[in-house]
Amino acid sequence: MPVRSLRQLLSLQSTLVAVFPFLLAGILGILWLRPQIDREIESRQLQFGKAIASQVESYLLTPLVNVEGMASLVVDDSFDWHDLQHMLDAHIAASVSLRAIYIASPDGTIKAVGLREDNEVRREDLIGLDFSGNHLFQRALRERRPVWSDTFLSVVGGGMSVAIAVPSADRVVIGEVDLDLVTEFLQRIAIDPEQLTLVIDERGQVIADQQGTHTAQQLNISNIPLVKRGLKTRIPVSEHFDFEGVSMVGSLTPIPSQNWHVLAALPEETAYRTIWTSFRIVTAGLMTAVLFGVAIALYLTRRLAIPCETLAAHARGIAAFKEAADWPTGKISEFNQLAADLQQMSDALRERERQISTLMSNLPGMAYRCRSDSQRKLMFVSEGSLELLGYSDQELTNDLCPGLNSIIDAEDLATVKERVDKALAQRKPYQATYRVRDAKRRTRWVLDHGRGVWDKEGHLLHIEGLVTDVTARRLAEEALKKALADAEEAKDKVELVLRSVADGLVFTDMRGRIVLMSASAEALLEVTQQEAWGLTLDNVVENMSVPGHIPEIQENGHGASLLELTFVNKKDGRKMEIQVSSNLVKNRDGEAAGVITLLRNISRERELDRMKSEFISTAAHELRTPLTVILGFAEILLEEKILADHQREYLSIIVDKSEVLQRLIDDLLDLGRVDSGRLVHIEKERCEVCELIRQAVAEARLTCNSHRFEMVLPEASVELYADRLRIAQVMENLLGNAVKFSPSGSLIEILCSIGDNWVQVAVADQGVGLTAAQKERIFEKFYRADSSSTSKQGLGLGMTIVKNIIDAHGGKIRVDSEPGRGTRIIFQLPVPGDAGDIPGNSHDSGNSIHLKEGS
Amino acid sequence: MIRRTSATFMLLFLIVFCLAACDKKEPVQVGFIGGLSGRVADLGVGGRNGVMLAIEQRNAIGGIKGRGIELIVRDDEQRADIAREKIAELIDQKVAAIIGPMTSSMAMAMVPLVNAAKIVMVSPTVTTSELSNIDDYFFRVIADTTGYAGKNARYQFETLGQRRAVVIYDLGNRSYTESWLKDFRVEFEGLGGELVDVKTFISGKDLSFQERVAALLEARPDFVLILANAIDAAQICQQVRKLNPRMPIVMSEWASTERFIELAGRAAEEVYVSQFINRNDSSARYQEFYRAFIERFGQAPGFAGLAGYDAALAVLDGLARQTSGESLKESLLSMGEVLGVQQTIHFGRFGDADRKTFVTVIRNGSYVTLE
Repeated sequence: MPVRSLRQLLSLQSTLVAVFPFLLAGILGILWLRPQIDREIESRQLQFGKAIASQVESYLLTPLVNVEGMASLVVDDSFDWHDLQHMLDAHIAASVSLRAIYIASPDGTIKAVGLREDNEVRREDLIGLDFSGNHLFQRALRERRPVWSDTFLSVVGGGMSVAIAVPSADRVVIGEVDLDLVTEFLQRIAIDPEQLTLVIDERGQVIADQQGTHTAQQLNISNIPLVKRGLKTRIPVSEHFDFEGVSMVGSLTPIPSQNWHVLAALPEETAYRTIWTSFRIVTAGLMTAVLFGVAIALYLTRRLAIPCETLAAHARGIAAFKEAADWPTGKISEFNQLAADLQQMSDALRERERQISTLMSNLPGMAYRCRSDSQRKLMFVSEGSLELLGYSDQELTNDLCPGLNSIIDAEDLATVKERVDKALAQRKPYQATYRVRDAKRRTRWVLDHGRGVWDKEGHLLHIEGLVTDVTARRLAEEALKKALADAEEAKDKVELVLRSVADGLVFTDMRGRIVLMSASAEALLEVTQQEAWGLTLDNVVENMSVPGHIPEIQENGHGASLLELTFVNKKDGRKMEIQVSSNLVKNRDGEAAGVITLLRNISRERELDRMKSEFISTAAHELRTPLTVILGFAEILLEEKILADHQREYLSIIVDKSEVLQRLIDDLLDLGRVDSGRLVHIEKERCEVCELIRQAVAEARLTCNSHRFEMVLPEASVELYADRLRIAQVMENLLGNAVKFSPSGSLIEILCSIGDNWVQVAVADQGVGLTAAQKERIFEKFYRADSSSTSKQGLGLGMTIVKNIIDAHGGKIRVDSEPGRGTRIIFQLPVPGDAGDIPGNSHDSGNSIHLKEGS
Repeated sequence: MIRRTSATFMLLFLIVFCLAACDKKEPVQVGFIGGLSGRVADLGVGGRNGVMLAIEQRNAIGGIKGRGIELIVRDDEQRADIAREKIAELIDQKVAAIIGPMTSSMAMAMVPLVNAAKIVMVSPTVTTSELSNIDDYFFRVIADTTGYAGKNARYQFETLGQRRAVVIYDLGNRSYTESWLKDFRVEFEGLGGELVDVKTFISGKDLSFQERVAALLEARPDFVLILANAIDAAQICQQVRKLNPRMPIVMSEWASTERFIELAGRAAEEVYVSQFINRNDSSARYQEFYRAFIERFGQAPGFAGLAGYDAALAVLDGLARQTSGESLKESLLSMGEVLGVQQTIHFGRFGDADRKTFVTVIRNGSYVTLE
């Protein structure tokens, strides 16, 4: 059902109410009245035709009577032809319709002629003409009664005429009726100029007509249905017909005396004129009434519709934010009530709108409503647009702005459209993050939440949504992503490096669980990183005592010293020497994050060490025997008195150097023992410490007179249970080093002190001192603190042997030194139980004797 | 909404349908012009009736390509000024073709107009050789005077042995009569004959021929040649017979209507007449036509009715065969011939036909074909 305005509806319906009865009457009139009228008109035409026919008949009877009169005169030969001629002329002159009259003899020869004009030449022409071929003459003679001709050209050349022949005895009197005169007569009796009056014969041939034209054309109208019917029935008939393209209504009436018919007809327009005129007048009156009724209806409609339209216009104004005034009132109480109700409603709506407006202006971003067209033409935007995009709400909603899509970055547009379209198709809300260009052509990231709004019929009305600025968040996300990627890359690199190091590397967390293993560690421990993940080293390595030191490291916060372990390969049972070193890993804040453990396979190095020690040991043994011989014989020779002085000097040098060589060899032999895992051979005996020291210093003083030696010895004798020679060797090495690494003329102090169950000896020099690194390595084999070319001679084995000897005695040795401040080597040796009577240590008791001995 | 749309569509459909239907019923208009009043009216009326019959018969079998044919009839009243006026009316009505006129003088007045309007005019009876061999819009279903005037002359000279001729002819249709006379004279004099006297008249109401005929007979001719319409010819014959009942009379085909015998009575006996129609034709086609004509008009067709019918057949066939983009002239010329009632009529290059003529004599009130 179409929806129309109140005005339309009322106008239409009231007009229908006014017009419908007239329409109905009109249709009924056409359907029912029209045939009635047609019949009435035909009936009138029938009467009319009869009247015309009657007049025509009486008009034609006159010439007939005239001709019959003449015929009665010539029934016998009792007349004079000359007189007859005059009588004929007199008859013509008296007749209104006859144009010629002539008398034919039985053989058809014209004997006398009466003409309307006095035309003697013409009369002479006609007299004597043969008339025998004429149908009319023949019929008159044959039928012995008056007959009318059926051709209409004057027999005697007189133009259009119709002839009447009356037989009289054996003569025939023929009169020609001028058709022009008949035409004139028909015109005279016509009641209407447009009337069609045709006199036709029984074949349908036109004899005369009102206009004269059809007479001349000798028209045959027998094909007209009315004529066909009339000729057949020979009673007056009437009906509608077409004649020369004009619709007519008329009748055909027979004229019995001539056996002719009269067709009288009027054009339909003329015949119906009176009726149509009356009909028009009535219709005009009715139409006026209808118009008046419609006008009143429209006026009432207007009266009703105007308040409605005013209310509607006001409502539209409110809807378009253009109207703020109170609702209009009028003269109709119902409308006023409606206006009051609407006022109440609009107030409530305004309040809600204010709330929404406040809410919207507080929203972080831009709320919008747009069409669902390709550009998402904006219908409304909240004030937030200025802050978000730099455009005012008017700028975004006017015609210059194509729509929301026009400010979206071209790269994002297709995706946004697709997402919005898909959401609308599914009738779901959409959410899209995209870039927009603000008023200053800057790119901003926004988050757009929106959804379609549909009417009840399911037509999409518009789209509503909220756009918020997420540029900062987006940038932060991007930065974070980049940082994460960088970190990941760095981590990968580190892992790669860690996993590629040659030594085995195991990283455990603070709970001792393995989190990373290098490839070589995997090979060493015969376990993959995946298998070892989350396990402790304990679990992984059954026969290693590694774990013990890791918690220690974690607790102490510093790395443990190197550990060397023997590890049995599971596959082949081969033993492996593995050096293990662990270190605490600290994070940026200095907090312990885990422990890194390096595993180094030193089996090969150890093997080489052993081979080297065996070689040295063997070589030393082999050297010692000839050297002992050399030394023995050299000393024997020195005993000889026969030697010259310079020979004695040479021999002394041989002896000295041989002794040096012998010491070196002894060192090498000791080293060999140490390396082969055997302890230095010690033959303990009771011996006095001070005596040992004095003896050593005395020997030192003999060999070295460039330094000063001072001894601080306890007063009481201190007995040790030790290898005398080895202790002497220790002292010799320490003093030798002190001499080697201190400038000549400097002082070397030897301090001896006694503790509760130990004795401590320190040798201090004033040399260059040692760095921390040098101190660390001083006991290593072949390590020489100064390895430059200017270094002192020696193999670098002295301190190693010293440590071994002290260790072999169950003592301790340490180095106290700083660069530039000299070096102090301190060793402690245990005192046997029976020496308990020896008073306290040297520091406390102060009973040590500081002996200053001159060098 | 849908209902309203469909209603609108139905209304639209109805209107279009009605228009289409109306368009379909639009008839083809064909004009006829001829002398329908006055003394030559029998020729014009006969021609018109022949045309009417042909068109009525064609309409009864569905017209041309489904369209009916409407005949618009105009009377030239045998006057050149009226003829031009009436032909202009037909041209204004945009008729498809014009059939007519019936006399040569009228044709001479009309042909320039139809040529200008490029409307085909097919004449049933115009025979003047003045219109022969011209590429124009004038067609005819009858031969020009050249052939049969000569034929008549030869017949009189050779068969009947006539040598001296007097002539009376109508100046009212001089295009025909003089053309006829010229062709007759050329042949007759060529053979050795002689035209000893020539009288003229202008056809009209209440003419007297007695004096002219008497003057002609004073020249002691072998025969009288009459070139006039049937009524005038009948009058002249009557006058000749009054003065010399045995004087041979020869007439052109113009007067050879049924009316002539009726009007001339015994004076018509032994009058030699040229004919376009073979009244003794017993072919089914002619008999059927004859019967239909009598039934429709109550009188015999005569040569005018026959020629009118043939001319109408030519126009209707031409229109029926006319293809899109082809003019009626092209259609007729390409058609080449028309199956007339009595003979097949061939159009020459210029639309002139080669219709055969017959020499007849009137005996016992009837035309008897001699040659």
